[in-house]
Amino acid sequence: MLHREPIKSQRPGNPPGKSRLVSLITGSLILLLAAAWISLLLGRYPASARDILAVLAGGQVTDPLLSDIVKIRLTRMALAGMVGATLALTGAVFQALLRNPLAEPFTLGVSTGAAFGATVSLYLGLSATTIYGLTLVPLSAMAGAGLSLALVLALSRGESGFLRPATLILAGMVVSSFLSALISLIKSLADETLSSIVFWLLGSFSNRGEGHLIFLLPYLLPALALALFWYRELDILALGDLEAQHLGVHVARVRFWLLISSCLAAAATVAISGVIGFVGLVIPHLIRLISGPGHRSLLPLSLLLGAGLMILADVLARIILPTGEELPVGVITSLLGGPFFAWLLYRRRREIEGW
Amino acid sequence: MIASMRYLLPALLVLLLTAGSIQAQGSEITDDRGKIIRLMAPPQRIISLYGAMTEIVFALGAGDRVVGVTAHESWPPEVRTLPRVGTHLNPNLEIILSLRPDLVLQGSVARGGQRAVAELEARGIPVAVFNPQSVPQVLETIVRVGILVGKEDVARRLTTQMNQRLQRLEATLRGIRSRPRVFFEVSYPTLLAAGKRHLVDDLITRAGGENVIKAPRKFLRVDIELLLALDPDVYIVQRGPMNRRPGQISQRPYFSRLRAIRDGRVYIVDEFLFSRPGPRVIEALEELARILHPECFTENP
Repeated sequence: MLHREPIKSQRPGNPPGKSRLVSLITGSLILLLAAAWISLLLGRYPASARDILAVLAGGQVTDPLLSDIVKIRLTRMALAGMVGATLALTGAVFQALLRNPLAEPFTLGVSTGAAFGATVSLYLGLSATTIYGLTLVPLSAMAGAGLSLALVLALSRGESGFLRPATLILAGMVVSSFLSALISLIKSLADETLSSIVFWLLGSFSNRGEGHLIFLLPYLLPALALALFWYRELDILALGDLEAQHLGVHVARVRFWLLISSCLAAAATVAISGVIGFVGLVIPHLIRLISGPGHRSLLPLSLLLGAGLMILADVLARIILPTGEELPVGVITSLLGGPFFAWLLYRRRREIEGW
Repeated sequence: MIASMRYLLPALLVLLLTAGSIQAQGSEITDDRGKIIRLMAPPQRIISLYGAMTEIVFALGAGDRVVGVTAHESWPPEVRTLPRVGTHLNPNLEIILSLRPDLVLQGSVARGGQRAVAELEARGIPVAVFNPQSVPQVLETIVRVGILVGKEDVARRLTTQMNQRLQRLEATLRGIRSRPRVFFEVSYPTLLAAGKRHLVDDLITRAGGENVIKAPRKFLRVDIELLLALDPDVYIVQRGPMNRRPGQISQRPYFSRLRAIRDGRVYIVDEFLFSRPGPRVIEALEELARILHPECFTENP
């Protein structure tokens, strides 16, 4: 195993010291809490800050519906937060594992697998059967994701059982484009259900319940635990497989388990909220620009900022149009994140040339 | 000079009369794209790319001239054996051309179907596109289709009857004191509602109700929070291809808080009847009026 001594980063931007890390995490936490409060405060149902505080404190309010409204907003906010956290965290993990700055949770095609599963169940009209507020859509999405992950792993498994990044990405692309074709096939067959498939694929946290939160947890927690447990190994993997092996990292094992857990966590987010791109790609890079590439700071900060930004994006998605309709949240994340990231990239391009 | 005049006048008259008779045999209308559709003779091989158009042609008694319909059509029952030419949004050009139509009817098309329309027109096949969004527009569409297929008299009779039923309904509803606020569910669990641009919006208004959705869209994605804020008096669910299994509505999360659920005012209606701007639109309207104002129909059930 790995000798537990601090490893000096060989990349630009040394890992932040303990006090800097603490202040960065504190800042991110404050941002997350502010986002959460905004998310509770804003919505279509008229509710004042005082009323919402009263409901949260368990007090009496005149409007009996308000407690439901707060519950709906809390659920939605928690879901957006968890999905944002998962996407950002797994994005950081994938970029390290595949040693590719363009890697994101969806690189290996599991999101297409999940989308395929969901499309099939929407097409077949299986969406009415509910299990604890969950329809069959997320369940079949997970089945689709599992199937595509198994395919990718089977395709990229070499003789030595070593999973090489380039092969993984290639296998992911093959499986992904094949499943995209199947989705297009179903879409062209489904004239009347087309709109619900399209709306679902665009991504949203609308009309989700506690069931969805519970659904996400068993996938998110292992991914989170494994990534945090192996944060040093993730740092070392950046040096290359051979070097990491020499430094005592069990590359095959680390890569396999992190891959499986992160893929399933990302797939679970697709299963409940549709495909929300951009967050998983950009948040980790954004944080690298602020705190350097060390995973000790990258992982927790990705988690917190991913959650906070997704919550804010969801608030915008649900209140920005005056006509009462909601925008797909993936559209918001990309519209907000794209230009901001481009600006940051432009400003600090020298510092990220290390990739 | 005088002699030649004697022959010229009748000759001119004959010319005028034959010109008139050509005009009488042919037909001309303006479709909803603003395009003038001119036919020299009544069409004998009609293809309908939209269910409501098929229903109109059959209601006009020209169903025997329909040679092709789209994939999922089932009304009237005779269409089930007709050749299929793809879907409304994605018609199959080759099949359509092979059926040698002399008229193609299409409902409103966004993107997908437009290319096919252009391709057909480029090959000299007349295509008429209709996009009725209200009951009067449906009536007017029926008349225009009637003129096109040479059944104007039947169309006039049919629309007169429909107009009479419309007026009878208006008379019945004259005394209503309130307009229930209505939510029309297009699909679930992706909760879509009918907006201002949906035919159903006009049906709701004419049936003495008010659509709670004011957005100028055909479909609107709605969150449960907005639904609770709107709290409609009546909740209508369409069942059909867009909403295959709406399930037990009162069992859905938070739906028990809705006034409509508490008052037992949830109704399931047929998507083919309500979302199709065809001759049966009056039936949908009458059914909706009974739902919204049962008090007006007590003597005459």
